[in-house]
Amino acid sequence: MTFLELQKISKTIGNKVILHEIDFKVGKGEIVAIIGPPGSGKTTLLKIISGLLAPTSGRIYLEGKDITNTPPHERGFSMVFEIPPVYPDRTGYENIAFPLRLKKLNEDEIRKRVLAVADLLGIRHILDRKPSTYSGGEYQRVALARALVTEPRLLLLDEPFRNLDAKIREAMVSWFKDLHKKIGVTIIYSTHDPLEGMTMGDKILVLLKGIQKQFGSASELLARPTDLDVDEFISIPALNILKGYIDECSESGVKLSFKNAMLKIPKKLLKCERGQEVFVAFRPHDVKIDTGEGVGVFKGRIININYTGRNQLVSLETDDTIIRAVVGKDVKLKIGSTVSIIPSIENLRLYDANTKKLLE
Amino acid sequence: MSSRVVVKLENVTKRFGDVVAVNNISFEVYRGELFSLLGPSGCGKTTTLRIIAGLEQPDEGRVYIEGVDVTKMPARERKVCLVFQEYAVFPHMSVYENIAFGLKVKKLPKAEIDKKVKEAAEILELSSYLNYKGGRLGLSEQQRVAIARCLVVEPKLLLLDEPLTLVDAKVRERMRRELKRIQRELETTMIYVTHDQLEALMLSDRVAVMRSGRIVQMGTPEEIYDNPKDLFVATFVGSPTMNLVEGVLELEENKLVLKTPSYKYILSKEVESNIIQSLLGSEVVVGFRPEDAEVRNDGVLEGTVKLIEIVEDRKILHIKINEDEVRVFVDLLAPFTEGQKVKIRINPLKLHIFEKKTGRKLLKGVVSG
Repeated sequence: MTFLELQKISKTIGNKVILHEIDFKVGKGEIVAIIGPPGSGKTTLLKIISGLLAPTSGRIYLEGKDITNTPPHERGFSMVFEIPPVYPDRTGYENIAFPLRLKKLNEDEIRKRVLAVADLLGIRHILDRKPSTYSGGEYQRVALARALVTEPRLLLLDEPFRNLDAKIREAMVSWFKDLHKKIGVTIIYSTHDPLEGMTMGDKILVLLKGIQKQFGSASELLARPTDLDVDEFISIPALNILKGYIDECSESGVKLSFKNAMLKIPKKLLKCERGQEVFVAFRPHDVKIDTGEGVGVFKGRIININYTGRNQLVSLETDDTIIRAVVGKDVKLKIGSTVSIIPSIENLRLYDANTKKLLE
Repeated sequence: MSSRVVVKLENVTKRFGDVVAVNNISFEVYRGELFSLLGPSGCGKTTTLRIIAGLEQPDEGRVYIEGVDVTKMPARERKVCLVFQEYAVFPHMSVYENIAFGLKVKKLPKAEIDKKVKEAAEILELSSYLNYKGGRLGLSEQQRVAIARCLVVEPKLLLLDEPLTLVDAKVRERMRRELKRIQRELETTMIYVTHDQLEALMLSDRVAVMRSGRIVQMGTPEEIYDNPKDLFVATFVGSPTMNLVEGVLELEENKLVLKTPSYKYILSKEVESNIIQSLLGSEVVVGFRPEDAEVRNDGVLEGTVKLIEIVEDRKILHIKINEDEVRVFVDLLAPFTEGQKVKIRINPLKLHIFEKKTGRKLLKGVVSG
C-alpha cells in the first residue's frame, strides 16, 4: 500500500529549475534512497518532503491525504541533516530527551522512551556523557536516537554517513539496515554514493541535475539502467563507454564496429538499424584481459594499476578510449605492456548515441 | 644516508599535554615513492605529516629531508608543499591565477609560468576551468586546484592530508586512479595521510598503518593486506572487514576444529598437525577474508542469510552461523534471499590465526594434507 506519494514535484528558484516533476510512491516501512552527485537536488527534495520548503508545483500525499500545505511540525516526520546539531553542553540523555520535553511529556514517559531508543541503538553507555567524548559513529547514533524518540511516521536522513570515516561508515550501513528491520519505520535518505544507496534502499531514486532518471530496486538499476547517464552514475569503478555503430542485425544478434575492432553480441534488439551510432557500456568487472596472444576484441596498453586488496584495477589505453578492467590480484601485469581485452558479451549494454536511451 | 631517501624520521615523539600524539616513530620515504600513513582518527597520522611539513615541532627525535636535518628549520624553507583536507583556494582569483601563484612568487618568466600552469591543468583535468573564479568551484575541483598549485612548483616533497575525504564518491574513485598515475608519471615523492584503507591500498607504494601514535605495520599494500601482523591491521585494512571467530583450536581425527563456548566449527578437514601443534588448546581468534570463503553445497559450516549488500560487482551475504556472523561474497545476480539457509567453505590456506590475548598473528594458512 502506498504510504507517501509525490506527484510531479517541481521546484524553481528564479528561473533555475532545481527539481523537475519528481514522481514516486513509497510503501510503508520501505527505505527509499535518493542517489545523485552534489548539487543534484537531493537536499531540496528532502526539505520539500519534510515541509521546510514548499514545492513550486506538484502535490504530496500521506496515506491518501494531501499534505502539500501542511506545516512541518504537523506532518509528524523527523529529519536528520548531514551534520546533525547535537547540543555540546548537554549529555546524550538530555539531547535525546529534548524533542520530548518540547512536547511536554511527563518525566517518567520521557525516561522510558529515551532508554528504549538508547537500547535499540546500543548507546545506553554514553547517555551520561557529553558529545565531545563521542566517536563519529556514536555522535551519529545520538542524532538518530533524537530523531527516532518521537516515533516519527517518516524519517528523512540527508547524507547521514557522509562525515564518518570509511571503516565506521561501512559498519554503520550494516547496523542501520539491521535496525530498520527491528523498527520498520519508513525512511527516505540521500547519498552521493551509489553503492551505499543501492545497499540501503528497497527502492532507489536516481536524481541527476534535478531530474528523476529512474526509480526502482537495485537489481533493476543494475540490469536495466534507463539511459547511459544512470549506468554511468551507478558504476563504481567508472563505467567503460565506447562509441561505435551497428554493422549487422541478425536473428543471432548484433555485430558492432569500432575504430579498429568488431564485436558480436548475442542480443536481439527490438529495433535494430544498420549504421545506427551507439554507445556500448560495460562495467570494469565485466572485462577480462589476456596477457598472452589471446583473441581479445581490443588491444590495450596498461597505463595504470591500482591494487584494491581483493583485486587490481587496471587502466588500458586502446585506439578508441581508455578501458578499465578489474582483474584478480594473482595476474602478473606490467605497466607499459600490451594485453588483449575481452568484454563479457552477456553483460554489456547498448545506448542510442543521440538520446542515450537503453536499446532493448 | 642514501640519496634515494627523501625523508627520514628518527625516533620522533610529539606530546600535547599528557597525550602522546606521536610515539617514537621512525621511517624512510624514498624518491618517487607514494608513502601512506593510514589509521583511524586520532592515531597521529596528521601530526606526523605536520611535523614533516614543519608546522609542528617534535619533542624528541630528528627529521631529515634529503639528508639535511630540518628538525628546527622553518616550514617555508623546507621546499615541501602541503594539500589540506579543507581546500585552500583563493576564492577571488581565477583557477589560472591560483595555480600560477607559487610561480609568480618565484618570479618566473611569464611564458614559463603559462606552460607549467597549462600542463598541470591538463593533468588534473582543469583546462576548461582556468578562467573560473576559485569560489565558484565545487569541492573536487578546488582540491584539484590545490594539488595543481603544488605540482607546478616542483616541490621536493608533496604532502597530502586526507585530500579526498570531502569529495563525493564518484569523483573520489576517479581521483584515486588519477593521482596514482600522475604521481608515477611525474615521479613526485608524496606522503599521503588517510583513514580510508582502500585509498591507501590503491595509491601507495608502501603503507604505514598507525594506531595510538605508533606504526603498527609498514609494507607494500600486498603485504599489509595479505599478511597483517595483528588483529588491528587485519580488521582495519580490507572491506568488508575480515571475518573473526573466537575459540580454542583442537584437532579431532585430523580435522582442525575451533571450539567456542557453545559450538564447534570444523575449519579444515585435513591438516598437517605438526604445523599447528603448538597452537592446540590455546585461545585464538580465527580470521578469514570474505573472498576466502565460498557458499557451496558441500560446505562445512551452515548458517542463515541475514542481510545482503551490494559491493561493486558482487553481493555480500551476511550469514549468521550460531552466534557468529560472517560475510561471504556471491555473484551480483545470484538469487539468494534473506532467511535462506546456506553452507560455506573456508579456504584453509587463507586462515589467519591470532592470539586472543595480544592480537598478535600466530599463523597464516593451514595447509590441507
